[in-house]
Amino acid sequence: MSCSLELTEENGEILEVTGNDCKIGKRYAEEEFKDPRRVVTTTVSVRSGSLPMLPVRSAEAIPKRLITDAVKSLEGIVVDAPVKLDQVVLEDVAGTGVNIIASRDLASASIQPNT
Amino acid sequence: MKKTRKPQLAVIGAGPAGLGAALAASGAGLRDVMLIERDFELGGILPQCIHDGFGSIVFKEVMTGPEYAQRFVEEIRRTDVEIMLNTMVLDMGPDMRITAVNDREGIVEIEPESIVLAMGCRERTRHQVMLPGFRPAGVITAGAAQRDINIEGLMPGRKIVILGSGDIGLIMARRFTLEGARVEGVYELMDHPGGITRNVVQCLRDFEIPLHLSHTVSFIHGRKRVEAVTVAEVDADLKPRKETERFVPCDTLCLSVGLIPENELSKHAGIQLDPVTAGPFVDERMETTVDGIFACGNVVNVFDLVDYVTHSAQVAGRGAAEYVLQGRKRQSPVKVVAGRNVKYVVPQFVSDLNRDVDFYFRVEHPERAVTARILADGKPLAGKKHKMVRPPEMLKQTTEALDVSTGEKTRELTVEVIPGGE
Amino acid sequence: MTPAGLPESAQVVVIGAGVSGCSIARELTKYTPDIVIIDRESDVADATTKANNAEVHSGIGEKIGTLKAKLNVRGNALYDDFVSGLGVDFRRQGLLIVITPRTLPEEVAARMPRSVHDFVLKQVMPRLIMLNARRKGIPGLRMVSRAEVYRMEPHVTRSAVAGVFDPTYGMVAPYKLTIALAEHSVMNGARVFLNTEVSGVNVKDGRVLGVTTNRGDIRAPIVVNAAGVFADEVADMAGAGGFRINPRKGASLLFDREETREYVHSSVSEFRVRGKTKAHSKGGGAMPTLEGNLQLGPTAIETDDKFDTSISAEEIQEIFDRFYYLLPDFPRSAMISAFSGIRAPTEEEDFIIGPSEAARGFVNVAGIQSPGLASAPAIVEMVMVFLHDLGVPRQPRSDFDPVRPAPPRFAELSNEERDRLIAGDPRYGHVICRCEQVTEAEVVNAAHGIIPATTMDGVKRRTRTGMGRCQGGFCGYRVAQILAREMGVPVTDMTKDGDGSWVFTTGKKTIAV
Repeated sequence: MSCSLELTEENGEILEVTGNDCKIGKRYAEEEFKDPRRVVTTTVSVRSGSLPMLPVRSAEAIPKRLITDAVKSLEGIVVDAPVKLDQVVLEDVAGTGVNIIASRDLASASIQPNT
Repeated sequence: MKKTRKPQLAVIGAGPAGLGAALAASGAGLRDVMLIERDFELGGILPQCIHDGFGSIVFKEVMTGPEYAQRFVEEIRRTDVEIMLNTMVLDMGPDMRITAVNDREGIVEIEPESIVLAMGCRERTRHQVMLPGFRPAGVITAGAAQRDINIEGLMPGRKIVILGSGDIGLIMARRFTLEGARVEGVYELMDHPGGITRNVVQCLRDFEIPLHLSHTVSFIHGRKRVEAVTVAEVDADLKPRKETERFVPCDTLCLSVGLIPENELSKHAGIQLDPVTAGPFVDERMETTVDGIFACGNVVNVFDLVDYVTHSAQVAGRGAAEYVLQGRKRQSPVKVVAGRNVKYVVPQFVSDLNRDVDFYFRVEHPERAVTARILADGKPLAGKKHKMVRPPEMLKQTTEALDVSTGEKTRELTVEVIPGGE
Repeated sequence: MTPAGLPESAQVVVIGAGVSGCSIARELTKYTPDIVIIDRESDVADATTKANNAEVHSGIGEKIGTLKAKLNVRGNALYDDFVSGLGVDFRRQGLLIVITPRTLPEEVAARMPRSVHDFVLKQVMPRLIMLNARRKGIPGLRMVSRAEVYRMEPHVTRSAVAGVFDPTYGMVAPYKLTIALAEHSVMNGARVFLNTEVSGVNVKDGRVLGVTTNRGDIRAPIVVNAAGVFADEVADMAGAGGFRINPRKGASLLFDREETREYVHSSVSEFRVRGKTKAHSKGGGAMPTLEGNLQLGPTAIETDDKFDTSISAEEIQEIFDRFYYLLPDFPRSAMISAFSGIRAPTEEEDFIIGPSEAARGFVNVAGIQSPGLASAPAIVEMVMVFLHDLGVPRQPRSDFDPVRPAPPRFAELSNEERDRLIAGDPRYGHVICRCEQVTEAEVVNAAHGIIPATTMDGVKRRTRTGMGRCQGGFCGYRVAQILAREMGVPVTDMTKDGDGSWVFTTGKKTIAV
C-alpha cells in the first residue's frame, strides 16, 4: 500500500527520486524536500453542541512550518452548534489562504444531557 | 409482556465495520436490519480519529476519521435500518439470542436470523505488559487519551512519555503536542517503529520528538500521580538492561502497546477463536464457526486501514443477506495456511472456491523485493510483487474464482511471501 | 455524612477506618451512637485494607500460642454472623493444602532416602496438618488422596502427593466489607471523617482526653488505635507505645475471569515447611475471588517505607515462578491487574491488642497483619471487653438498625429485576462500564452513598468500574464525568485516589504551543 521513497539531492537541487510506486509518490517526495506541507487537524470548542469539541481540519495541506501558528490561531475560537461538515471555522489560517473547516456535522445538544 | 425482537439481521457495533455490514445487507435485500451501538452516536472509533489518512481506497480521497464516518452515517439514514443507540449488548448465547439494554426500553431480547459481529477492539493495558512500579493516576492508554482530548475536551496530562510506536502512539504524540503538552519521547520495544513511516515523519520528526527504539519503560514512579518513569534499553530477549536505565520525569505515561479484538460475546456464543488473531475463525464470507454469525472489522483481526474494514464489512453484510434469503449450506471448508513470512491470514478457511476471495495478511518480519502469492495445493494462483513489506502494513490480495471443473478437490490454500520481487 | 467540621467531643474516637477500625466501630454503635471514626485517607479502607487479598483463613497457618492463632480460629467461626445484615458476600470455598516434593525443605529432604521421603509426604505430613488443626480447634479438615486432589483440582501439578482440605476457609471482599461496616456504623449514629490525620493524642494525669488532628481537636475519654502501619506512631503520641511496626509489602496478581473462571474451585496452596529461609508469609495461594477471577499471591517483602506499594518486575516473576510449579498451565497471559499493600506487623509478629496502662482510655489494636481479616469478629469481641470496662454502656441499644442494605448490582440481577430498576430509574439502563456491566445509576448511588465515593477509586471499590479486562479504558472518563456531576464540581477536580492524584489537567483546551 505504501512505498519507501529515496531522494538524492545536491546543493538543494533534486537529482533523483526512486522507490515510488507511482507519479504521486514522486511529486510527494519533491514537495517534501522543497516545500513540505501538512494537513492540520485539531479540535475547537463548541457551544450548545451534542459534544463539547468539534474536529476541524485545514481544507488543504499548508506549509509545515506554519502548523503551530495555525493551531495557535484557533485558540479561543468557540463555534456555535449546529455545525455542518465543511463549514468554515477560520478563514485564511496563518496567511496561507487555506480555510479551517469542520470535519463533521455536529448537532445541537438535545434536552437529555449525554453522559 | 415484552416481545422478543426477531430481525433478519442484528449487527453489533456501529463503527465502520458495523455500518458497512448493515448497509451492505440492506443493499443486498434485507429489509429488517437492526444496528446496535453502545455509544450515543454512530461511527465507533472514527469520531475520535480526527487525523486524516482514511478513505484513499474506498472513496479515492484522503479524509479524516469523522469525515469517513459521516459518509456512512448519511447513507444509513437513507435506509430503513433500525438504529439502536446507547444500547449495550449484555450477552449473546449459543442459540444466537442477544440480550441488550438501554434506558428507554430496558432489557431487550433479540432473536435474529443472522448476526454480524463488529465490536472492534480494546487496548492492551499496563498490567498485561507487566509494567512494574506504583499505580498512580496518569497511566492511560492512547485510545482513551484520544477520546478524552478529541471528544470530551479533557487533557490527560502535560508532560508525556509514550510507550509503543504503533500508529495510535505516534498520532497521539502529535495530538498531545498540538494541545500544548510536551512529549518527552516515544519508547519502542522493538528495533523498528510499529507504525507507518508517514506517521513517524509527520508525528515525531515534524515536532522533533525523539523515538527510542529497543527501549521499554521498566518502572512507573509516583504514588498519587505519575512523577517519572524509568526507561531502559532492552536486550535480545526484550528484557530491560539495568545498566542502561534512565530516569525520565513526566506526569503521564501513555501506552500504545497493542489492540485486542473484543470477543467476549463471541466466546459466549460458542464461536471458535483463532489464537493467532484473537478473533473468530472466518471463511471467505466472513462467516464464523457458528452458522449465521458473521464477523468483520477489528473484531476479526486488527486492520490498519479502515478501507479494508469497510471491504470486510461489505463481504459480511452480503454474506448475512445471502444466508437469510437463500439459506446457504456451507461445504466442507478448505484450510488457509500462513506460509513463509506470513504471520496470519484472514479468512482462515474457504468454504466456496467458486468465488472471488479477499485475503488479508501480515508478514512476520520486514522484507524487501518479495512476491506475495496464494497457492492451491502448492500451485500458485495469484502473485503480487512488493518492493517492501512490513508487519505494520497489512496486505490484501484477491483470488479469482478457483476453477474446480477439473474435478479435483483443493485440499489446502497457502498464502506466502517469497523473495523475488521488484 | 459530611457535616461542616469535626465534633467537639465523642465517647469513642476510632483512629483508622480499615477493617479493624470499622469492625470495632460498628460493634460500638450497638451500644452507643457517639462514635467518631477518623482516617487520614480520602476513603475508608484506603490503606492496607484495600490491598488485602481477601482470605478469611481457618487459622491453620498460625503458630500455636499466639494471639493471632486464637483470634483467627475464633474469628473464622463467627464470620457468618459477622457479615449478616451487611449485604456483603462471604463464601466458604475451602482451601486445598497440597503436599508436593517441595513440601519439606531441600536440606531435610536431601538427607532422607527416597522411600522415606515419599512416606513422610504421603502419610506423615497430612496427619501432622490434621493434628495441628485439632490442637488449634479448627473443625472440618480432612485428608485427601492424590487421586482426589486431581478430582477436586485438575490443574494441580502431577507431582502432588496428597492433600488436606480445610473447609472453613473463605473469602470476602475486604474493601466491600469495610465500606459496609462503616456505612452500618453511620446508619447507627457514628460519624466518619476522612482526610483527617491525627497529630497528637492528649493525655493528662495518665488519662486520655482526646485527639488533635489536622482539622481540629476532639475530646474523648476513649481512643481506639487501629491505625495500621501507623499504629506505632499513634501509640507513641499517647505514650502508650513501646512497639515498632515493621512494614512488609505484599503483592497479588489478578487474572481475566473469562479465561480463569473455574480454573480452581477452592483456594489451593502448596504446603511448604519453613527451612533455613524464614519466610514470614504463609506462601499464599491460588484462589478464585468472589468475582470469579483467579488471584495469585501474596508475596512478602520487607520494606522500611510505609508508603511503598510499588510492585517490581522481580516480585511479579516470583509469583509466576512459585505458582508455575503448583499449577503448571495457569494462563500467564491472562493477567489483568497487580495490586500491592503494606502489612503492619510488629517485631514480635503478633497482634498487640489491649488497653494502655500509661494512658487510661487508650486501646491498642495494632500489629494487625494476616490473619487480621479473618480475626476481625474475634478482635471486636476482645476489644469490646476492654471498651465496656472503660465505660462504654453494657446495655445494647433498642434503636440499633441491624440491616445495612447492599446497593443493587445490575450485573448480578435477573432481567426482570433489571427491568424493574430501569422503570424506576432509567439510569439503570445506561451501562457505562462494559467489562463489569456497571450502570450509571450505580455510579450515582456510590456518589450519594452513606459513605459517598469522592474519588475514581472510591467508585471503583463500590461498583467495580475499572476492574475488568480493559481496566478503565472504556469507562474512565465516563465515571469521572458522572462523579463530578453528582458532586457538583468540575470534572477537572476529579482524582483517582485523593489529594494529588488528579486525572485531567484542564477542561476545554488551552494551547501553550
